[in-house]
Amino acid sequence: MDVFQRRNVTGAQSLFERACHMTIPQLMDVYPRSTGEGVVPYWLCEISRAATGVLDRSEIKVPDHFAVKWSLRGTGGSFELYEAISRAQSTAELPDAAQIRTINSLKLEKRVSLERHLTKIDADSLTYADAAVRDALSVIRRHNLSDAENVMISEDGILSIQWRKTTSGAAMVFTGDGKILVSMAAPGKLYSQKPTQISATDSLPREFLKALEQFHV
Amino acid sequence: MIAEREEDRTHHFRGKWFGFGPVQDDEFLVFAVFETTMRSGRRLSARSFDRKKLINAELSIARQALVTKTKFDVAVARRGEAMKGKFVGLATANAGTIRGIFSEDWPKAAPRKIFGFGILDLVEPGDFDGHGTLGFLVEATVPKTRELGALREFLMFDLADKFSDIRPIEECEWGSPASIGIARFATVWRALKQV
Repeated sequence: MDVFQRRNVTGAQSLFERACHMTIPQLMDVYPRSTGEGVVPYWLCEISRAATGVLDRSEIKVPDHFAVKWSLRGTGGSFELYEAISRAQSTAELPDAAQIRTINSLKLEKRVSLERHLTKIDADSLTYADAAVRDALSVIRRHNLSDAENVMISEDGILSIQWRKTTSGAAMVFTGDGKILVSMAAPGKLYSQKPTQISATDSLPREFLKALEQFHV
Repeated sequence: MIAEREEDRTHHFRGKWFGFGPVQDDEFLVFAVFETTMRSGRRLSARSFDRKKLINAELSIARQALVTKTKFDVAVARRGEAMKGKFVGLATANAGTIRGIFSEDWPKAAPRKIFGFGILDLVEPGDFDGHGTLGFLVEATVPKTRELGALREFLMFDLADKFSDIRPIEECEWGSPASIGIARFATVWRALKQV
């Protein structure tokens, strides 16, 4: 319980270095204080493997921007990790400028999170599933995507979102390895026929975004 | 998974002299929809299909022209209600159209043409003779890569689109005892020619 908060140290620097090599289970176990932000799903608490290239999810290298705070007052100082860890960046960069989000887009975001909650993922695909969810949330936020007809996650951690009308549709698939596949269907054109693969950091193809406009629900 | 040429031979547990033989491209397949079946209004969605059943080629369908309405009602609708909730209706699709769902220039590493689905005339003890199963072909499932996994999601979207709207059992054109008898005769005839 007091491992990180009250341990006496000789200096802030050594404390910070120790923090940089801590593991996620330790972080979660020893920090019982609420920040008032509510419980954050654990898959949002990890750095995307696609972003870091780190395959072992048990260890995390805390980057500089993580909020390690310490005070030199008292018994040699203490620090606390606050919920900045829950704001781990996705594989995609968020835009600098703030944007106005639509309710429909927030709804889609919520459905993606809910789907992750409800789906049983194979143990060896958990990291992929979590990365796929982060990538999806990032893309939804960046493009303010509106709610879709279908949101589903497979047992092997592949997340897909589909917009559909009577004879046409558009779909995005997040594989969790930093890739997104997009495809559109129309009479004579299948979703599976020629999907386009892009990186999670790239912007969605213009024609795909244009097609999505007709599926606003 | 359905291997290459597996669709060309019969999968009736009693052998080639029984059932109706391999599913032909001009046949129509019936998918039963129950209360617990995921769907989007009156349409099937990719969520309507159990992914694991598709991978194991165990997704049950009925062969429309080879089963009577009464048989379907008893053997599928009523029996299924015990586990899947109230029978809602059915959706149909052409076997050839489903077999025609394909991908080209994929995966990126080794682009090729991949067909997604196969249909077997699988009849096991307890099944009716007009029973069949739908599943992914081997080429859509092996090797187990993220790219192929993504493709399977698209294939399932296409599969859902190929089925008709969900409709009542009365609106379907079922086989008659006479037409089913003729189909049985044709099956035996085909088996005889192979001897």
